[in-house]
Amino acid sequence: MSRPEGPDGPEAADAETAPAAAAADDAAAEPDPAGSMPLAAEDDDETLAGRAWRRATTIGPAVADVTRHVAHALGPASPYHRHDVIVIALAAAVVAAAGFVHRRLVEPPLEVFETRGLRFTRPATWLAPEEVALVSPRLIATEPPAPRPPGGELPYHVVYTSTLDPEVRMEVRIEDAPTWRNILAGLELDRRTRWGELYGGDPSRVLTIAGHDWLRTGFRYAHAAEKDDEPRIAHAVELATVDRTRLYAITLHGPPRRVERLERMIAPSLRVASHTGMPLVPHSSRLSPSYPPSVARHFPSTVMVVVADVVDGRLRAVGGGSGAVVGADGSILTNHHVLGAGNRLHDVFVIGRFVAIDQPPRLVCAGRPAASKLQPELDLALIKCDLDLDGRPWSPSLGGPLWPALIGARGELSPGQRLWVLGYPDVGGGSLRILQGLVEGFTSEDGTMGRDYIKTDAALSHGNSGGPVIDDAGELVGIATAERRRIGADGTMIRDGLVRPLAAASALLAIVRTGWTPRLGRTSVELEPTAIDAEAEGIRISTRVVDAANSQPVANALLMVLRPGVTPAQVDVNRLDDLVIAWGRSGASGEVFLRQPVPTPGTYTVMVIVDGYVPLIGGDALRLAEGTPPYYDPWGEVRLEAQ
Amino acid sequence: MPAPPNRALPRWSLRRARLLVGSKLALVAGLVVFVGLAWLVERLLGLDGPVRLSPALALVVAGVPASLWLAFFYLQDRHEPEPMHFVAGVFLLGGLVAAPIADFVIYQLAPPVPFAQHGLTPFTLDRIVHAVLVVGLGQELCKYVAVRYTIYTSPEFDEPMDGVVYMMAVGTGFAVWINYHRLQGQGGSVYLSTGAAQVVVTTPAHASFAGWLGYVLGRAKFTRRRALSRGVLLFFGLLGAAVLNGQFALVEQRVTTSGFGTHAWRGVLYAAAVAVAVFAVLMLLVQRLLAESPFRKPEVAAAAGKAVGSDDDDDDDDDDDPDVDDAPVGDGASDRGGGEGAR
Repeated sequence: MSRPEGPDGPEAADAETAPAAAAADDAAAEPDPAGSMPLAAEDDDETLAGRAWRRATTIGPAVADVTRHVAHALGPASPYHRHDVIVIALAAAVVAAAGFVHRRLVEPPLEVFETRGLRFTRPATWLAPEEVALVSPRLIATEPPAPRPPGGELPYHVVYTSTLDPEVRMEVRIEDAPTWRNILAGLELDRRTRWGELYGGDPSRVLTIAGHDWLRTGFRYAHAAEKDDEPRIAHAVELATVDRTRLYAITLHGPPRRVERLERMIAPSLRVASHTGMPLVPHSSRLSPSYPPSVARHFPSTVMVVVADVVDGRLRAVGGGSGAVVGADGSILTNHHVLGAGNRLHDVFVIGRFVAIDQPPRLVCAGRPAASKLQPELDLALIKCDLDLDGRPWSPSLGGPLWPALIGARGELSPGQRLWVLGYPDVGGGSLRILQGLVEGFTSEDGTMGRDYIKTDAALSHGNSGGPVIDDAGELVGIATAERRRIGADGTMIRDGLVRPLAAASALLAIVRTGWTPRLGRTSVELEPTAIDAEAEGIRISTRVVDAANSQPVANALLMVLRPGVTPAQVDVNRLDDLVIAWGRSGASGEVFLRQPVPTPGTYTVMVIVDGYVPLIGGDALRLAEGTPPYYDPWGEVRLEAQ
Repeated sequence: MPAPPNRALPRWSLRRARLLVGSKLALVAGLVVFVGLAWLVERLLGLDGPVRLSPALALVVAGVPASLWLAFFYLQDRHEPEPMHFVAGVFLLGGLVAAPIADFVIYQLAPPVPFAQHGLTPFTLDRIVHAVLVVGLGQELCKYVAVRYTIYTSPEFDEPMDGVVYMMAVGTGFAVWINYHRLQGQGGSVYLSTGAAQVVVTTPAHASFAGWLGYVLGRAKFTRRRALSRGVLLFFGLLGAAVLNGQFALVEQRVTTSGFGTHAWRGVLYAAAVAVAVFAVLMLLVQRLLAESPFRKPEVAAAAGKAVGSDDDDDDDDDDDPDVDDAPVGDGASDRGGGEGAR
């Protein structure tokens, strides 16, 4: 063979000439008479390496050549173009098919998980389940949860870890069904108090699997595998449901894509033994009525109040209600019965704030009912958060302000007037519910004539308790408190919604205006100091308290002089014994004589508080110089505005 | 490029023969010295454990043996050596384009399965499928495409032997990428001497797998067969290279690990054995191609006609044939003549 064999076929041969012709221009075709080409252009002294280097530097022409050849090769004129494309496509298809087959081969086999009424399929290659103790809440210091007694049935809590990736875990938790029906808020509380402030969740949604409802919630949390490790963001998806007696929760942890795949594998196979037959998160069948903007303004000031008890070292949500924010300091007015039954107060309350009209509230902070201001006789309570969900001190400046409701000017309500009730009833599917009703009249505690309650036809239900009731003008007029059922004349059941008028809460609102910090044991609304450190010497102060509108004397007004340097912003009704140096109460004639002397010289903040009037707090309102007479009336009279 | 001055040299030059054989020997010696140096550095610095190589150092360790091997392979093509910048370009194409694309595609198709998934058994079906059909075929396909759509259509690709040379260049470039990532992977900790030895032996192994494909490619380009049988030939060439590639990875892992322990030197020995075996077979095939080369001197061809491609002396003679040393431009012109002659 003395010549290269050309490509087979005319098409290829034609094409072969094209680049050759193109190359001909820059090729100095010098026929070699000897039939052989010279070794090289360079002289013999050039070393092999030197020549290699020189050739390697001619990269520019090489790139140009290669580009030209690629262009030619991809063009239709290339020899065997079509056939080689088929070969390459075939090989690529084999590679892709092999990749698919490989993926199927390495897909872990499945195994059935079945215990305590829960059944699903799981990857068989996971490590053996590890029984773990339930986790103590961060919110409140508790004894660690007791481990399940050997042979004990519930609570059952195990963790499976993937053999592929220790980050991928599956938690299975089975325990007694919660007493509170709002599973949405209950589970949210579980997660929030377990992962604390570094938790972020997506809205839950309901999946119906084999006729049973499951609540699916995706969330993220900060997590450090070991102590002192840099925390990382972990992802998880929780699938939870309740049947007649038990709560089942399966949580998948791991990188989002792995969790997604696991969920696709596990979720469709979830089964529970007994069905309640009831929807997991009951949705209100009625659409919310259209509402005026003045009502919408109150959405952010309507909060959910979840109460929880520590049971076996764990925090369990036991009930909930609503509340109305009444102070920029985060004070919330609610019903006493939301916080406890009878004399027993629940251990903590957690506040959920409004996010959007179609979303459940977000749990943001917590406090203790035992540190709230309570008026059980009126079924009212004033609460305020002082803990975040990690159990650290919380204030609105940290968690973002809670917007106070517009408080009504105590205008008279008349029957037939329209009312709006905002709240988070259990039946509302977790999001804010707006009810509309009419004022039907008034009633007393015992159902007789009286003005203890406003009667309305709004369908109040469990969970509405404590929520704000607003008139058309958008002013807070009362607190939704109770529902009374009676049999009408024709034998039908009539439901009356009972609203506590805002006027009843004047003592609590006075506390809000004065300023307060929750303190354990200080649940009384009584403001009178009990044991103050009186000064031995000073001026005896007296004055007269009158109504600013009609100059009539105001009886029972509490006038207090605070220690020098205490500003109005520092006033805290729970620390009156520390703050007050002299106080007195007005008699029927409005005359006040302070029981303790006030030392001279000095400048003092003065407070006057009385039920039904706007509290008066005057910074530096009392200035006493040397030489002030021993019995002194600095103001002549103190005028109070009615609330 | 200016035309080289036409200077007639004696066709039989002992000096040339020594130069060529000497160059090859020097290259192989260079590779041995390279491993020896790595070993010596390890001893001198008292490195008992694995070291963390900086990216630049890893590139040097992966690149130096590859360059030496590339030069060695280049010298195999005696009759009509290819333009060096073409070979270098294809080498870079293998390392910088084909290998990253292959890695990406393979990763997308079959993300690495953690060790615990299938334990220690090396020859499970999923591993075989992965090593041969996903990784092996994927890598060889990328090498093939890199040559098929660049140099293959050029007039420089003018004899079957060129397929071997260019595919080996692509394979060598590919091996640089693989070895670089091997040295940088696993937390960047490797034993210096075994790492260097591994680079030295896996480079010709990868180059030889590609070389086998290049042999088929060269044959295919100048075949007289019908398009269908040519396609089948190419496809089985690809599959063959994939099988060689896949078994290499599987068996190397099998001999390297025992239980949880690893014996890197066993892997190196196996790799060396495979590389030598495949390379030797390839060289036998290459001898045939060289013997049939259209650029062979007619006198030599006549002399060798009695025993085609199997006579060692004959090969040595060919080695020394200086007249057909690279002169790319002139060769291009002569090739053109050949192509047209075939039409």
